[in-house]
Amino acid sequence: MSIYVGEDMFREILLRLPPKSLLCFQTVCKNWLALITSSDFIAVHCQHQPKHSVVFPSWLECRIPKQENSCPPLRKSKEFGISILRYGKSRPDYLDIPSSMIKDTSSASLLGFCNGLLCINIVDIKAEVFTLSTGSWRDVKAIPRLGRDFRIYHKPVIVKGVWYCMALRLKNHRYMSSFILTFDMGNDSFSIMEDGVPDIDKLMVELITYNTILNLMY
Amino acid sequence: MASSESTTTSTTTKVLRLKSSDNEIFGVEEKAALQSETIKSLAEDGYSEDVIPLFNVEKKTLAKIVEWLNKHASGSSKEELKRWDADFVDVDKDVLYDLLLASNYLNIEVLLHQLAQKVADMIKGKKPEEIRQLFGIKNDFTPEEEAEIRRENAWAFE
Repeated sequence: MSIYVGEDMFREILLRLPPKSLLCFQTVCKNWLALITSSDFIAVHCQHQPKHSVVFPSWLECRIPKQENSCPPLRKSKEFGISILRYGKSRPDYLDIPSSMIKDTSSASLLGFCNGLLCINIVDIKAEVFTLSTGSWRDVKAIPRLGRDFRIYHKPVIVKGVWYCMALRLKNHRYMSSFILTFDMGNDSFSIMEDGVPDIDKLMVELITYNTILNLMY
Repeated sequence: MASSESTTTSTTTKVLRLKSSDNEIFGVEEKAALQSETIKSLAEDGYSEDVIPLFNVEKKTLAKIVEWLNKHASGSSKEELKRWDADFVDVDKDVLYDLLLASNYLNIEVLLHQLAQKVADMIKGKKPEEIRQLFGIKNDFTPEEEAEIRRENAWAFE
């Protein structure tokens, strides 16, 4: 049985949904897409979300406090945090993210976000995904065959929900080969792209996005 | 007998008579009834001495609404109301939508918010196809358009 519910009531219901559901429900129909992506809706939706579940930030920056080598350990809530500029606010808010399983925050990084929903923390090819709407971390499976002898370069890019980063293999601290490490946020999986990746030992290679396509620039 | 207990209260309390679309009359204390903005404006328009007709609400739904209005005018503690409200919205989806439509028509903001939250909790894990089926919405995207939106937000469609 289907039920008739008016436009304004849909709005009332959608305002109370977490951001991830909203992204998903953009494909319900054109009316819903227009409603969910309207700036008016986004602004009101922000106010409806519980405190500390920050959604739709227009700007996001990661701040990771340096970890002291000496004891005592850092206060857990200070281990990882992000600054978020919310709609309608002139100053960024600072949000403390609860401690994750990964203890070495000095090498953790914010890999990306999409409408403020997720940020990812990768250390030694172990990744965790943090969901802002629920305020919790979840683990992601690593690639077993990669081992520890590799380095990832800075400036990862995100194209259509997939994170790409230039990386290189090392053996006894010496350069072996280049590859692109990818992380698909859709199914939480890592993979390696090796074919045709230029040698970053000899060339300056940078990943960029152009027309929502991943490009290599060198 | 659909009249609520409030019809039996003393004559010093003003009672408004609400008529459902299927002609059932409910007596509700004025204080309780005026939580509905729609009833409030109808009462101000001179309906208060007479029966207030609510053409869009059936008796089974109006009985529930009257129950809610009475409870929320009864001076219960916050904790008790919270528990009571949780039970109140714990109904099957057809009743839930009837209540949602009625609270929207009667313009009872607090109740509308509670019901919208309940529906949101119910649908949040669902797939777009299930949402369309539930609300009888036609998919007006071309397959290409839909695929493009899905690609852009791939990780949200687990």
